[in-house]
Amino acid sequence: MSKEIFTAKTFFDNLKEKRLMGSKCKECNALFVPSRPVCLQCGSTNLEWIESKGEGSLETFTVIHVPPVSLLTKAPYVVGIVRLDEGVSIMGRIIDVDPTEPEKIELGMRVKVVVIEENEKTVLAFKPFTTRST
Amino acid sequence: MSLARGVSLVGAGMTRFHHRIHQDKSGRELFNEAAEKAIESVDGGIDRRDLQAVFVGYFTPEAYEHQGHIGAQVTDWLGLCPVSGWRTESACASSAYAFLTGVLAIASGLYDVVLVGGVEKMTELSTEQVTDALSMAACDDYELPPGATFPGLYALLAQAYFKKYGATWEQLQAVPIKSHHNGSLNSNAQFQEEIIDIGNRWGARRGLSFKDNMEVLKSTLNRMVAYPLRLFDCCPISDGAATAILAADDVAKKYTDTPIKIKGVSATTDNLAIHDRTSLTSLRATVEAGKRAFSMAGMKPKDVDVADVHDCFTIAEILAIEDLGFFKRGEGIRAVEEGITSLKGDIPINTDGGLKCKGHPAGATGVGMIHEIWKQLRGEAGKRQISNAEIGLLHNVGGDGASCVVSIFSR
Repeated sequence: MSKEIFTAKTFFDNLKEKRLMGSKCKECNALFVPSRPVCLQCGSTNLEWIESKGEGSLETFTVIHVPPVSLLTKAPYVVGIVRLDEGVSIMGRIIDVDPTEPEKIELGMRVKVVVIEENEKTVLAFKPFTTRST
Repeated sequence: MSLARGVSLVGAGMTRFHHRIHQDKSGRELFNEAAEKAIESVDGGIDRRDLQAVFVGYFTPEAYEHQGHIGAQVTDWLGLCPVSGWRTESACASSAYAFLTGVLAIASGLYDVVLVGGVEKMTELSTEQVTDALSMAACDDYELPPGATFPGLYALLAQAYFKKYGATWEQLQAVPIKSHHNGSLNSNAQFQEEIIDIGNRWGARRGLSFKDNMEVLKSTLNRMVAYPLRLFDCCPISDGAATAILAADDVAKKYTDTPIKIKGVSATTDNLAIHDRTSLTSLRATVEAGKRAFSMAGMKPKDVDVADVHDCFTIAEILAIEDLGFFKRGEGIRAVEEGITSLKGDIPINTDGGLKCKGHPAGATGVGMIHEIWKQLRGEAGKRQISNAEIGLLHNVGGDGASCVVSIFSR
């Protein structure tokens, strides 16, 4: 059993400091972002914290037009699932894209982590970026 | 694997599901209304004191009615105390779990006859507040902060499906067109009109008229909810209750000559947050529950004559009919377009209008679906009757697929 305690609070405390944290199984190397306490692949509880680079590609997205009460003033906004380069997926707000032209939002486009503070919560978000060719 | 003791349906009853007509009634009053109909439906009659327990599904009574302790609330109002009664909660599959609990209770030998059902009284709140209540089925830590909603989660699955199979939103509209036709034949349905008729009725106020269903669906009347899903891709907010009476096979004959037998039943779970799942174009909980229920029944998908599957959003119906094995991956939409799932098709799906048109009072939905299978297998489904329906399937999903119940019934 790992000594680490993989709480959501620790995840968000790290996110506030712009670190996207996951857990990695020390037995089979499977990776989970957000962090979780039990390996889904081998069942081990021997995991360690690991930091994601926070870059990936947009796997799927939606534009929310009917929001929950807390986000009434924000709609329409974009939510997506990002496939991180480490090979795992995570949900986040997608910013710097135009919610009124969803046809122009491309699946597969490159995005990287940004952190938003909203309604006294730390919210995981991603924005498009272009990698410079070297 | 099989049940240690056989269990059958001997009665079923439901209120109409609706957004207006039940506004003056509370959840327990609706549940009573459905229960009285189930009691009346028993061919040979039943003394209510034969009911040894009540299992009731209700997703979020705390949000809608500021009420917990639903088990005692319904046994009290049904005049059944001190029989046992408790609530089961698994989001939109809450009453399928009440049904499952009833099956397990009888199969274990603890009881011989039980009432199962569910209720949800949703119209107490505004649309945004209902959106909040429903979102409690999603992962509060990691899905809600970015702003996901229930339609939004299914929209993410729809986009992934479109991308993988080259399908389009236009094709998906075969689902609500079929649902509205079936709903128009069901007196318990919330919406009993074809889409073109609703469009022209709404349009009349705005000086709009339409030639066909698709023109309505592409119009501004069909407003965007969560791209690419629009209003007619979504089930409505509803009030309603549904109940069924289960009896051990060895006592069922006392109540009816034609009990509906439970041949297979299975319940499964999957990762709560969809980003943790193995696929965005299939619900693993459905795949596994389907396999296990078919295995218990000793049947295959092609043996099913009629199925009620969980279509909270149009894409959900497509995923369900593929995940249950009725169609190959990527071929579900075309099957609906070709009418294979219509009342006259090879495998009629959601003959009652589905959640889309019958309505979706979340906690009542699973047993509401069982009610339709009960009607179909007894030949009592009127204008939407499937001839010689002998095998029926229930598929009820919690949330966006983190829990699922599949059950197979036979005449």
